Amino acid sequence: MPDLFDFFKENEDKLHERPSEKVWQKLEQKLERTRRPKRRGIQFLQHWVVALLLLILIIAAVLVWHFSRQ
Amino acid sequence: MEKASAEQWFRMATDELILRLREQDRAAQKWLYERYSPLMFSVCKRYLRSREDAEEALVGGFFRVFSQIDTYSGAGSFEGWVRRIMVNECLMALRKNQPLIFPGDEAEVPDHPDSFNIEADISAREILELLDHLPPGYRTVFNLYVLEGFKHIEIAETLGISINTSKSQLILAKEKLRNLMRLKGY
Repeated sequence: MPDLFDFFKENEDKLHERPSEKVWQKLEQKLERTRRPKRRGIQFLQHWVVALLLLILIIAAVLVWHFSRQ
Repeated sequence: MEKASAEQWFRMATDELILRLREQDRAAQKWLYERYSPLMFSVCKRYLRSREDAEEALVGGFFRVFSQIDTYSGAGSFEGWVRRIMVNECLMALRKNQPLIFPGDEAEVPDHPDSFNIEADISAREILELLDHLPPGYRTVFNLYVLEGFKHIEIAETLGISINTSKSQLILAKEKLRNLMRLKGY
């Protein structure tokens, strides 16, 4: 005959219960909310890098054109 | 030899999982959630009576697990670390709803309380229902001591109560459970 405390401990795994589907959805939304600013930051940085590379290419092309004419 | 190999596989799988969790890999997060949510939900339900509150604590607990994964040092079991976070989340929810009251605070505590053996054929679910009838103070100490394996000194520190209050709450919880079981005819 088990003691009440032992009984409870021994039967803990029988009490496992799956939560409703909306729990994962809520959790995923919460995770998305914290992830987005980081993504936006990276996207913003990527746009600047592309713009800078384009500018360098244009300057290089102008310089090549200018010196080739001379 | 086979056992060692299985343990190594388990360790490698856990290490790999933690690495992916640190990268905020959504598939790894979903896998961990699927693996542990039934156990963690049962933990939350024992601390918080309503299903809605337990689900809310589960969301908060898993969010903490994923956002604080870098603080897991690798010492001790990963499941134990997750469970500790869930228990803390439930305790915070309990305090938020209303301050924990400990009825019979500092009551006379017998040195050797009567042992209480289960003679009736009672299911675990019925015991859980009985536990729902306990006041939050009794139930919280019962959960921390019996299911989380806390010592009275740890319960006292966690809940901001004295060691004697923790001991008396546990004994009163057991007494209340015994009376409830008698009332229900077990």
